[in-house]
Amino acid sequence: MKIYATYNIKGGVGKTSAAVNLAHLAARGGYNVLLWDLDPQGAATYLFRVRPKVKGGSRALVDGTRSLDDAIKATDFDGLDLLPADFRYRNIDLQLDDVRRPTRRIHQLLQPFDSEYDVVILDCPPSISLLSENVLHAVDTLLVPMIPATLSIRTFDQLSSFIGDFEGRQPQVRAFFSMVDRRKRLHCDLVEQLSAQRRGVLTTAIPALSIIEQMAEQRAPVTAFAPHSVAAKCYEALWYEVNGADG
Amino acid sequence: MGTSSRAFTKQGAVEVEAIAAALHPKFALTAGPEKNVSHHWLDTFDWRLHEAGISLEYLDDGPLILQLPDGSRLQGPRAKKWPAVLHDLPAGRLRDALAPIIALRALLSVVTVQRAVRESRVLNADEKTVARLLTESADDGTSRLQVQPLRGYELDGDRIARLIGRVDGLTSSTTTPYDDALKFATRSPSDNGQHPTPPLRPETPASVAVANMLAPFAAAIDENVAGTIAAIDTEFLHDLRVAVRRTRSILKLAGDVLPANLAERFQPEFKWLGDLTTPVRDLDVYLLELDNLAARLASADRHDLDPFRSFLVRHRSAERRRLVRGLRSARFKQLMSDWRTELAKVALEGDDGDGGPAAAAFARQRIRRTFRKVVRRGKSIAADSPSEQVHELRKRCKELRYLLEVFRPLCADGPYRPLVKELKALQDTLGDFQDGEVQREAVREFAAAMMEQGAAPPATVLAMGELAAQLDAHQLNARGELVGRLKPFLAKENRARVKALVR
Repeated sequence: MKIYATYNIKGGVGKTSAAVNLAHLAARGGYNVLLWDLDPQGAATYLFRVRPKVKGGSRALVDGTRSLDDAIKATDFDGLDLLPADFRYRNIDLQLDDVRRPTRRIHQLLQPFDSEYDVVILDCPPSISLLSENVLHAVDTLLVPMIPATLSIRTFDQLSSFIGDFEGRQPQVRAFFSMVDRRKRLHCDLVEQLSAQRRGVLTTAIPALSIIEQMAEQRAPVTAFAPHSVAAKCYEALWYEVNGADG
Repeated sequence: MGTSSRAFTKQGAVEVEAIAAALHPKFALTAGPEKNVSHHWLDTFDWRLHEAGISLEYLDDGPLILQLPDGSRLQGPRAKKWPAVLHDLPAGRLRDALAPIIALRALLSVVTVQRAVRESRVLNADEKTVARLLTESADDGTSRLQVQPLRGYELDGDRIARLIGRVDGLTSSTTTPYDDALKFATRSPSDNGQHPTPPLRPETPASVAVANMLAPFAAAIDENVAGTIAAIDTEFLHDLRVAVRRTRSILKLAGDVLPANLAERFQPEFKWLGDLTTPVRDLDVYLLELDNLAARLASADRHDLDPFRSFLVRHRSAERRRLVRGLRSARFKQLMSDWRTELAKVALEGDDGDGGPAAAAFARQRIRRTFRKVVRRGKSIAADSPSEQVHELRKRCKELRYLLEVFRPLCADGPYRPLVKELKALQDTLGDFQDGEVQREAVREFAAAMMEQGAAPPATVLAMGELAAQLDAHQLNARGELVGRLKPFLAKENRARVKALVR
């Protein structure tokens, strides 16, 4: 089981779009995939038409009174299951603080699924919190969508150095540019320079396209409702770059 | 899982409109196109999947779909060709789920049926798919409808099944799609090693009883020949050998009641058949065990044994050619055809009255005699007895076991069960001992043969040395256990059980 998370401190950078499309592509490629919508706003849950409700809320999950298993819902796509968001996830930090080894809880919760899922993707809320620290300890690869801007690069560097200080197991950090506007000179320059110079920055960039925004209308991944679109091809390239090493 | 049935059958076609109307207004139905597909069902030769209530199929060029008795499904990539043994399947959850069930057996294509199939989706008020409906129509005019709820939507699945159950003409299905498909198969699970024989009664003439118990072994030999020749999996040869061994044991222990010197005539021929099959089976056992043995190497690298494996594979190919020639020979065909004819004749003639003693008296006498032999041999075994003596004991135990099996209908349950349980435990220890012994000797002989052929690099010879040393240690253990196991078997209780066995 390989665990990925789409994560950034900033919101509105394309985390959910990446999580949803990569999860769909992984399932389409024959993997058994679980997408966990950890964001109380529940955008990924909405896209898959699943009701944003987990019995007992995050407390039940965190303190172990309910297993994740009971909360999982199949999506309309073969091989792709969803652990829906719940608005009560907004309190998850407080609840995590009450358990033993509070930064390892998400990792523990996912362990029983090792034989069931090949790929798990966590769609994280934008923040830096106990939950995000949990995510960093749970994942094999952290996918960081970045808007091409100098400040984004600074945040990426901070994140890499924070993870570099972890004792023991450290996730891979892979950043990619998202919402790239080809008409903006700065965007093009930053994408080109940084993907060539900076270790951990992927070469695939996701452009800012209206079809990606249409996901909310269609309530489906763009790779499903417009599989031949430029956006879908970009997500395919991204998935290939992220997963390529594993075949 | 819900309690209501999720599978239905109907005479004639299932009308999508009627289903949609039944689901309305709670659910909406999105019907997919109807497609003609080929369903290919797979199982082992001995129907292990069917017996476990499992079905394994693929549609056209699609992936493998495994359906478990609780209705859950697993999907996985197909093997490149069929038959396929476990390691021919790509690694994954589906292979892991099949492993304990099929073990060494190959998956064979059992039956292929053409069906007109339609997959529809049932949507809830959020337009979320909560279940799939599969409808299939067969050439004979019957249709099948199956509700497959999506994970997390089991309650909806039950509700949908209840609503559909009210549609006119649909009845809950009592069979699985696999069962239905098997009606078109050339073989069926009901003829799995079950060779109908007349019941064995205490008053049955002994000659008839013996002929009747030998007939199923002859049938087992016959049905495993094709799979052995085609090298589908190693179990065909194994089962064939077991049937030959049982035949030989019964001929030896009870064949004297058969008329016209049948036992004397056929014993040498079945010995020939047994000997013909031994080399390939022995090599199969080494090859199957080699990975386990290699994993236990401490000093040598497991890959040091690769030339040994290649040697075994080459050697096996040569031995297999000899085996296949033998099984295709006129001598083998003649043997089996004469044997079947003679057994049928005895079964018929014996009924005319001159079949020797009654089966019960005969069974009592032969079981006691064979048990006495086991006891005599067993008593003389100590921790340092030569392995030939242990081997002899093992053979006698096997003979006793076969006798107990074939005379089972005449035995009382009370003494039978504990006796067989203890015999089994003893046989396991003896088997452990004997296998280690044979393997240890064989490793030495193979090493010598490989060196003679210049096929043994020094690292391989060293690794084989370590292997032999490990088998030695294993042997010591088995010896230690053996004496402990013998004691309870030789105890008074078992003598009393044998006495009380056939009344």
